[in-house]
Order: sequence, then C-alpha cells, then structure tokens
Amino acid sequence: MATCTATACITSSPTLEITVISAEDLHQGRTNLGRGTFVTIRSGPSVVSTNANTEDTHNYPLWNERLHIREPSHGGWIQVDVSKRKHGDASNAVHIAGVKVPLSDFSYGPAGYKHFLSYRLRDQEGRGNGIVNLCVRRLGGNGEGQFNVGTHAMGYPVAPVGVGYDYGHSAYRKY
Amino acid sequence: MGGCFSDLKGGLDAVGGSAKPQQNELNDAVAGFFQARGLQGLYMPLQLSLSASKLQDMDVFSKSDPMAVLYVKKQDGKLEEVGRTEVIQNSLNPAWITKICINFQFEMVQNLVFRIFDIDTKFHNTPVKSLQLNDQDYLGEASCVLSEIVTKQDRSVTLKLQKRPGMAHFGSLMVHAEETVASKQAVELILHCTHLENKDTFSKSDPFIRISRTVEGGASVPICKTEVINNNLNPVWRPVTLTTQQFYSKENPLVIECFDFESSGKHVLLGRIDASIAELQRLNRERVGTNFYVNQHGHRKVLKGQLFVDKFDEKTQYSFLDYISGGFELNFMVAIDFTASNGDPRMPQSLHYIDPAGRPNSYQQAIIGVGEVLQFYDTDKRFPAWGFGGRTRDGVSHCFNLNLLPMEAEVVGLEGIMGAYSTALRSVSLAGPTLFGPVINRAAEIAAHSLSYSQNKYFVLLIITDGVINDPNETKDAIVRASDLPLSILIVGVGNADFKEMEILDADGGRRLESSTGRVATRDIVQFVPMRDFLGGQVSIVQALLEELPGQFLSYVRSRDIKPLFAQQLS
Repeated sequence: MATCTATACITSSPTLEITVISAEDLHQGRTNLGRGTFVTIRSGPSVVSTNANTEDTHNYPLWNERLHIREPSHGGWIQVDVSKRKHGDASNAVHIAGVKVPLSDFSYGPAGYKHFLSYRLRDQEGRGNGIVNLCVRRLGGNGEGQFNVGTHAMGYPVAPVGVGYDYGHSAYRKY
Repeated sequence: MGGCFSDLKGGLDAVGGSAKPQQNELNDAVAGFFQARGLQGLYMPLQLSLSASKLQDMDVFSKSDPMAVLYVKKQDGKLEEVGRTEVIQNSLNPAWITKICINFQFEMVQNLVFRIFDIDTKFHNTPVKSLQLNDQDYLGEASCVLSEIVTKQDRSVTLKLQKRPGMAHFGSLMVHAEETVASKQAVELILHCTHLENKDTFSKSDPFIRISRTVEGGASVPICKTEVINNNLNPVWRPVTLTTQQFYSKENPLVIECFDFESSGKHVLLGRIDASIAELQRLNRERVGTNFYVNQHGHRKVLKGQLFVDKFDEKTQYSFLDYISGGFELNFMVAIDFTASNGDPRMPQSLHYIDPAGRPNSYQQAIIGVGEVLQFYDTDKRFPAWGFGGRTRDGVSHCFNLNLLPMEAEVVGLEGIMGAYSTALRSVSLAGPTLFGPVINRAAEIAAHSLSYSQNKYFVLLIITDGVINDPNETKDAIVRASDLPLSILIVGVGNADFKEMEILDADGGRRLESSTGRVATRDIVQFVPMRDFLGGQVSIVQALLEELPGQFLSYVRSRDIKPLFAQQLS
C-alpha cells in the first residue's frame, strides 16, 4: 500500500470513513476493559486503529473517533477488532474480540450516507463478547470532501463526532 | 422511592437523556408519572391563532362583533368545546388576539370545527366563557383536521365559512398553528464523579445519577437517569441530553442524586446536589467540582465525593412538527396476510370475510385506522400494497402486488387499498406459510432506493397478520438491516393466535434485536400490537400503534444530522 501513489488511489475503490463510536458490555475475566482498549480495522492490506480509550468507562469504552480506510478492491468484508493495551504499551496488546463486517451492509444509498451499524463481537473461540457500534460512510471513488488521499492508511483521530452525538437514543426515549 | 427502579433489566439502563444507543427503557414508575400528567409520547402543545375576512354583517347600525369558538369533533360525532377567542367589536375582518391551545396528537385524526358568532352588544360586559352561544347570532362554521394545518409549510390554512354544509360561503377563516414550546434548546452534559463512597462489601459501588426537577410544593419529578457503571467509585457516564421541556429554564432548581444500584431496587443514596442548569454550566466553565451532601439527623453533611461537568453543549433540537411542516413525508405501505389460517373468506367466521352490510373486518379496520392518520403526511397518496402467503396464478407468493398488476404495487388512496384488497380476495387463494422476510425486504428496497433522490422521506410499513411467523430468523435479519433505513414497521395481529413470538421483534423489552449473523439493530423500528387487546378498550389500536412513530422518526433524522427543510435552506 505504501507504493500506491495518490493518482493511482483515486481510480481505485472508494474510501470508507468509519467512525468507531463505542463498544458495550465487553468482558475478559476481571480485567477492566475501559481504559486502554482500542479498535483496529483491516481492509485488504490496509490497517487503521483508534487511539486507546483513556476514560475509565469500565466495560463500555467510548471512542467517537473517525478513521479513513480504502474499501477492499476485491469486495468481501472489513475486519473490526477490539484489543487492550498491556501496561499502556502500544506494541503489546491483547485481542479481546472481533467481527467481519460485510461490505453489503453499507453498499446501498448515496455516497456519504451515514450507515449506523452494530455487531455482536466474538472472541477467538467464537464466544459472543459485547457489541461494537460504528458509523460507516462511503466517500466515493475519488475521496470526496476534505479527505486527504495521502493519509488513508494511517487513520487519524478527529474531535469527537459533533456536538451531541445523538446515536439513536430518541427511539428508546419515551418522553 | 423503593419501587422506582424496580426491575433490574430496565433499572440498569439510562433514561431520558442518554446517548447510549441501546436499552434505554423508561422505568415504569416514571412512565406512569408522565402518563398520569398527559405527557407520554411526544407531547406537542400548539397555539392556534385565528383571523377571518368578509364576515357576514348582522348588525343594523354597525358591523358584526365576532367571536370564534373551537370544538373537537369526537368519534361519536359530538362536539367538545376547546376554547374561545375574545369578542372583537365592529369588525368584519377580525384578527383575534387570544390564542386557543390544543395538544397535537400524532396518533389520532383530530377533527376541528370552528364556529363564529356575532355577540350582541348587551353581552359585551359578560366574560366570554360564560356567554350562552344560543343567544348569539351564528355567522358560520368551518372545519379541518389538525394534521392538515401542521403539515403546511407555514402551518396555516384558510377555510371557507358556511352556515350549513352545502350552502353559500360567508367569508373565510385563517388558522395558524404555533408550538407553544418557545425554545427548542437542549443541553448535552457529560458528568463524572470522584471519590464516591463505597457501599458494597465485596466490590465497589455501582453508581448512577438521577436528575429531577423541583416542582411547586417541594416535590421533585425525575427527568432523566444515567446508565449504571459497575464497580467504580470514579465513574464517567455517557452524555445525557436534557431539553427545555424537561428542565424548563436554566435557573430552575434541579436535584442531582447519585445512587449505588441494587438489583433489589432499594438503591442506596451516595449523595445529592442541588443545582440548576446554569450552575452546571458554571461548573463546566470553571472546571471545578461540587461536593455531594447527605442529610443526617436533620443537618447537612458534606461528603468527599464530587460531581464534575466535563462537557456542556447547548444545541437546537428540532421537533417532529418542524420536520413534517418542513416538507418531510411519511410514506405509507401495507402488507396483508393471505395464509389459510384466516379461514375461507366466503365464510362469516373468516378474518377475511367481507360483510355485505359494510361492517369492516379486522384487516379493513387496521388499514382504515392507520391509513386515515398517515395519509395526511403523504402528499401523492400513492401507497404500495402487497399480499403474502397467498397462491396467485404464479403459485404461492410471499410478496405479491395486491392490485395483481405485474409491475406496479402502488394503489391510489385508502379506497385504492380497499378495492385491491377485495379484488385480491376473490382471485388469490389462501395458502402459507407466514413469512415476513420478503415484504420487509421489499419495503426496505423502496426505502433504500429513496435515499438516492431524497432525504426527506420516511416509510411506514403496516403488516396485518393472523398468525405466528414461520421465518423468525429471516424476519429478524430483515428488521436489523432495515434499522439503518428511513423505515418503521407496524404489525397488527388479528384473530386469536398466540403472538408471543412477535414480541421479540418489538425491542421494547430493552434488548436490541440481533440477527442470525450477529448484526445488531441500531434502533427500535417495530411496534407490535394484537388487535384483541383493544376491543372495547379506552385506547384505540391506532393510537397504540402510532404512539412510538414520531420518536422512531426523530431517532433516524437526529442521528444523521438531517435538519428540517427550513434549516437546510438557512445553512
């Protein structure tokens, strides 16, 4: 991917803007999975990660972090994994759970449509472990908007997504 | 407050203002409280301003002295008075100042009747409320449905005044509706605490915050609570959003209490703070905490535990009415069960029996009831209508066009649905099994397709069925996928089958619906109601079905930052 020039990338598959919102109800023994957890997204050969969650939100880490990655050119899926840093060390992380997200889950609607997607996470033995909440936008083949094509494989955090992230909560509010 | 957080499942979830997407089940006690005060659902008080032109002149030496009276026509045809304007003297083109207040109820057709009277001079010192209307000259009346007014862009209608139906016009009446909630401001807060007291023996406290508004007489009304964070004395909660409808004004005193969650419901108070929204804003600006206290033996004991406000954001929250008067449409779609369990349509005991005397069967009742409300929000009134589980000429189909045309599922108006329904009953034989997947997927395709040309459409699929579904997995998968689309699904169960299975589709229990592949619904889009529960009851089935729809609509547009049209034009 490093050899891909900006021009070559423009003609390739669309860019995905993936906002990693949060995970819920993660567990791993007695370990507190609030602080130090992070999400990695793999799409074909590209990999991007969120920063580690810094707040002590126990087993409900909250990232609200926007990442950019190229959609895999062969179709299929993207892989989403939650891991936890050991002793605050980025290179020393333990995998907690993950999920394969099929591209067909966000392949309809116009470019830029916000797809709110949630998935049951599974550990390496296939046991359910929490839920991850994402918002995925396909930005079209030429990286429309302010997105800088050169940084696609790095993933960068932006300010928490907007004021009042209102993620579906009104549906559950009764007054 | 012992019973206030009675069930563990509901009790652990945030209520009223959390941004946490799942569960948020309002606990029964709070729901009961708001219901008792008529605040359930989306409470939308409106003020109607009235003016008239070219009224008939009844007085000999001067012009008429008109007053307007608003009535609501009840289902039995009786008129119930809602309010009166003042009397304007000597005018045939009055613009009344007194506004008449009425609550907009999305789930009902509210028929309004306006009557104009010329008030005789000798009554001019009588308070308007005590005027006997039979003693006054009648200048005419006009009627409309409240949803006709609120779906207009300027929320105004002009109606012709008549003395009797079919007679000549005597001037016209202009009605304008405004929401009485002056401000749609909301604040989003992120709260965290430090050094909370430990009340649990073997682990740490499981804290949650409850915010209440102080009302007259010193009582307090809970307006929101956060989720419970297990085993943590320095918790950070998910953002909570409070609207002005909840807190009234920034200076209004609030009570903020922190509890240790107990599954028994007897939550232990860890401390309380009295503060207004303005005070919380100060805490955020100055980045300082404030101490909790408890009342001990009649005096106040200040605790070590502190509350901090990490985020304080003020924002505008658009109402359901802002969207629908701003050109948003609710598009109605219908799917009807043609499975054999309904019984032979020619027999009177069949659920599909069409009574020659015109008494509607359960299917017709559901279509008319829901359709009558929703048609006002659908401008072209072209409704896709399908049948499922019936044998057409091409064999058993789980999604066939009700009008039996090969390519076109749309019919025009409610009459169009009724006509296609009775035609289909004659040529489609009832079969089975009962599958929902195909019709939900068809509706989802239409909703998904609409995104490419408009973001101002929201779809409502009404499924009427007599039985339990045979494809629960496909149905769940279809609903979970559809939760990402501008679509809500209303399911009416007719007949006497056991509908237990259906309840799992309706996420009201607080659990998010999960598909067979592990995808999880991002919002609740299903409302299921068995018709037999409503026979002879106080609440109509239509009200029960439509009650959650405005909230489901708002969850879709708000999460995507979709604004009403007037706000889109401004930005």
